[in-house]
Amino acid sequence: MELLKKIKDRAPEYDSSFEELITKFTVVQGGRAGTAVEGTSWEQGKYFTTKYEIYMYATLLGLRCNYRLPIKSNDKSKFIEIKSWQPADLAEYVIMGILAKSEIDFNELENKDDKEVEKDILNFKKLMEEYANGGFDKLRAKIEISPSFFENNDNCFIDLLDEV
Amino acid sequence: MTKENIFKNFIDDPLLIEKGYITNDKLYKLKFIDQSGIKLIEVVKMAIECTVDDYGEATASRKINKFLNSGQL
Amino acid sequence: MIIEKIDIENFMCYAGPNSMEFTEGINVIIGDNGYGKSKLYDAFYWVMYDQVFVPEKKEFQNTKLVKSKIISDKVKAEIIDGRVTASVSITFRNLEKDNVFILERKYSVAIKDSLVIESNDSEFTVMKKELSYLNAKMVIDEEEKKKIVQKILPYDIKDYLWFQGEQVESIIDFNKQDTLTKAINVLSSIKRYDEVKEIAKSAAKAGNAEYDREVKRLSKDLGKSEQLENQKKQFGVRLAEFLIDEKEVKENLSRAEGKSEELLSKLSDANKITTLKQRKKSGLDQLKSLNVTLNDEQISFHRKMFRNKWVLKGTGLVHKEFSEKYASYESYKLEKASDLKAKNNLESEIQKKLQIRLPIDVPEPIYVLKMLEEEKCLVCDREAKKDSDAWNKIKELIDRPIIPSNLKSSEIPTLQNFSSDFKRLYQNGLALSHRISEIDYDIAETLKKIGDINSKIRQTNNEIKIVDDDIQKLVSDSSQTLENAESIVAEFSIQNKHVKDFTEKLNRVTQQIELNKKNLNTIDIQLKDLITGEIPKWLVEKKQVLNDFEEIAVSTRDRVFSNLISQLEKETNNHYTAMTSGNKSTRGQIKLRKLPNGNYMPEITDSTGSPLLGSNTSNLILVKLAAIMAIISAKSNDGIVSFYSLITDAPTSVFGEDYTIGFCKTVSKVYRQSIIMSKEFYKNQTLRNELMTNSEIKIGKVYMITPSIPETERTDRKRLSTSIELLN
Repeated sequence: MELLKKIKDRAPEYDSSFEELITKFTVVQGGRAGTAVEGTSWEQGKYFTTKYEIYMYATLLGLRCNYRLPIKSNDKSKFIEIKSWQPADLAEYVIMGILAKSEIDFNELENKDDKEVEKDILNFKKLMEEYANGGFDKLRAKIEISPSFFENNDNCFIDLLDEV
Repeated sequence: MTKENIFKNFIDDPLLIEKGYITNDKLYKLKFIDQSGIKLIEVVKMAIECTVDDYGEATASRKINKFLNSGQL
Repeated sequence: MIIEKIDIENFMCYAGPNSMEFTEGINVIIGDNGYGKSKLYDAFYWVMYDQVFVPEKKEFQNTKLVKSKIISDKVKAEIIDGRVTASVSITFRNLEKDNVFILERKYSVAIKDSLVIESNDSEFTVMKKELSYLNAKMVIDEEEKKKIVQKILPYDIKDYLWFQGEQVESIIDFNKQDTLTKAINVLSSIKRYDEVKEIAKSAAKAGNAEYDREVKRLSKDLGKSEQLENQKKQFGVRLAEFLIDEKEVKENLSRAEGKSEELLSKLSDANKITTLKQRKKSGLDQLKSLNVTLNDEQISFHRKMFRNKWVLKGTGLVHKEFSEKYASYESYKLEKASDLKAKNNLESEIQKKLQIRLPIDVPEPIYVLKMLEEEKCLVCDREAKKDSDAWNKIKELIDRPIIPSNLKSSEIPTLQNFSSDFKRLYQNGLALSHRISEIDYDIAETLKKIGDINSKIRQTNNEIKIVDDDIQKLVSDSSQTLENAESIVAEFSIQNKHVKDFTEKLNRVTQQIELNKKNLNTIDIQLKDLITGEIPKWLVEKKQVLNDFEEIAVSTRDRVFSNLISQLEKETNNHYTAMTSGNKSTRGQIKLRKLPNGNYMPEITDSTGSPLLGSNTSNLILVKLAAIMAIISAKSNDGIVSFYSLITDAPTSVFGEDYTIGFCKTVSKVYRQSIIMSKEFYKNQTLRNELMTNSEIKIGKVYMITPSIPETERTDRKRLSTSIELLN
């Protein structure tokens, strides 16, 4: 499982301008994301208990709509490595999705040496970030067009799954 | 209420028969204007007359006393 | 006498000239609270008795006290210098004799520089028409004026004919000796019997005293007589005290019984309220737990985005893409592997061809060598000459080349081997993508679940509201507060205890009275024993007769009173039954139960005579109204009040709709003419229509009164006037 291990060691980044959007919907605790109590976070109006959750959501949104957007800004923020993402099967699904979209040829990959493999993995990470960025962009656009969609609707993120 | 009415109400009292003052059939026929021959009944008539004719209690008392003192019937 | 007309000018809220005509039957004045209904009543009352009802003091007050408040504020404000007058005049007509009386009262004040200079008295005039088409003549003689007023509305019955709704409670209080006696007196004069009773009492007392004096006079032992007399006095005093005690205890007992009875009927209401409150509580509990469940569902709903993989919705294509890529990766590898395999197969084919029938090392090499030497096959025992086919075949056994034991693995050697990674990703994606098809169903199911809880919550809320409404209705019907409802049970048991205690006390007092009477008797006997000679026969007889006279007087008075009560009870029942006949719930009968203190208590009982529980305030008000009507109607032979008119703003709001119509029906039957002020018909159009169209109601005129300023804005009364509209 070497490839997966190498991929999962990476920690993708997002455009810092999305920080506000992320914190709006995510419980952010001092350094220890993912430890919030479900009940209280619901009452606070939060939908995601960790950053990687919303990140996965955004990535899948980008994948679903086939929309990737390169990160223009140089101001990027990191969060946690993929290997810590839960649930693991969802994380692997995302990886799978990005791999499918990537230009990496699997057979050729096997013939590359470690250094080149690392290069490919870096490209992979960049691709994931672009899809995630696309997803965030879509979210931002939705908030701008219809802010009430998120204000009055408890099921907003689930309803958003219907939109392509 | 006429004197007759009031009188009738008084003589309806069971005491008259219980204490043997009068018998039932005599009672039935008795009218105010009749002389009953029974002291109690005459006293009642006097009282009724005095109240209806507004003679006052003092007059009634005197009349009754005079009547009962005399031993007349 | 019929009231034909009332003209009201500048009286209270009736600024300017106003007029209303009335006919036989039930005339109705409709208006909401504060519209001028009670001021109209005041107008009637003022003419007759020079008094108006002052709500702040809750009593009637003379014009002298009320003064210029009687005059309309609007009219007073309009004059700076001059005179303003309030006047009310009522036209009465005697239908049998066809004569007419016009009674008018005026009150006027001077105004100077907008200031009111109070006057003192009102003026009262009476005009009479011997026949309705003749001219009216002023009645000068004061005595005759009084007689006319008395004739139109006798003073001793006016309270039962012209009354305000608020007075109903107090006009006839069965547990108050005075109002009860007053009412009975109207039915038939009990006064006579009271007077005879007084005569008898004092006569008996005097006669007894006279007898005692004689006994004393004839005593052989004056000293002992004196002593006994003193004792007698003492016992007499004690007896008097006990009699006072007895009266007081009877009063207390009656009050406790009365209260207990009142509470008994409230008790069933209280029980109903308590039951409803429990239902409300369990509803609220259910609501609470439903809300908790809803909250939990909503929280977990969102978590399902990740737990139930809903976030993967619509991403099936992603896995497809990867599958394709993976498949081509795999097939390339397989290709490569199959190339190798083909090569291997070819080699193994060649080797197969080379391989002789016999397996390796069978027979063993030494035997093969032997066979070669002997030029004979030892297996089939046939000749195998050297260099013959057979001999060559045997030789091949030794010569066959070494075949590698394992075919080479069909893998092309690569630098990295990621196949397990890709396989894992593929299989993971496959498993998850199977879930994708179920996501929509899953979401729908969960939404439905949440929807169900929400509708259950709505339903429970509705149920709670209905119970709340029921509670409110019961509370306002029985005019209890929710807190009272719970304390009624406690109160009820307290009153019951009182009844028990007072009954015991009464027993004791009665015994004491008996004891003292006996003692007195004993002393009398002792005194009698002391006499020498005989007491004159006439005196003995006198004493007997007078004592019997007293007894008869007391007993007859009570009997007559009871009969009148029965009469009243019967007539009241007639009216009560008539008024409640339209109502669905049981209304029962009225019984007037005698209390220890000689007063009576109205009870509503069922057909077996046991008290009907749950009679609420509206029923009791109806009972009182029925009784008030009965007092007057019992006097006439046919139970119809022809000569006097009923004027009341009856408390129909306490009744509710059903009773209101029943009330109007009965009133229109019992009274030749009645004038009813009501707010019931104001908002309720259906009720109004029924009033005017019901064939059982003999309807007179129906008026609607409206103030020029609504009550809420009435800080400044200077613009207040009332408009009167005839509706039929």
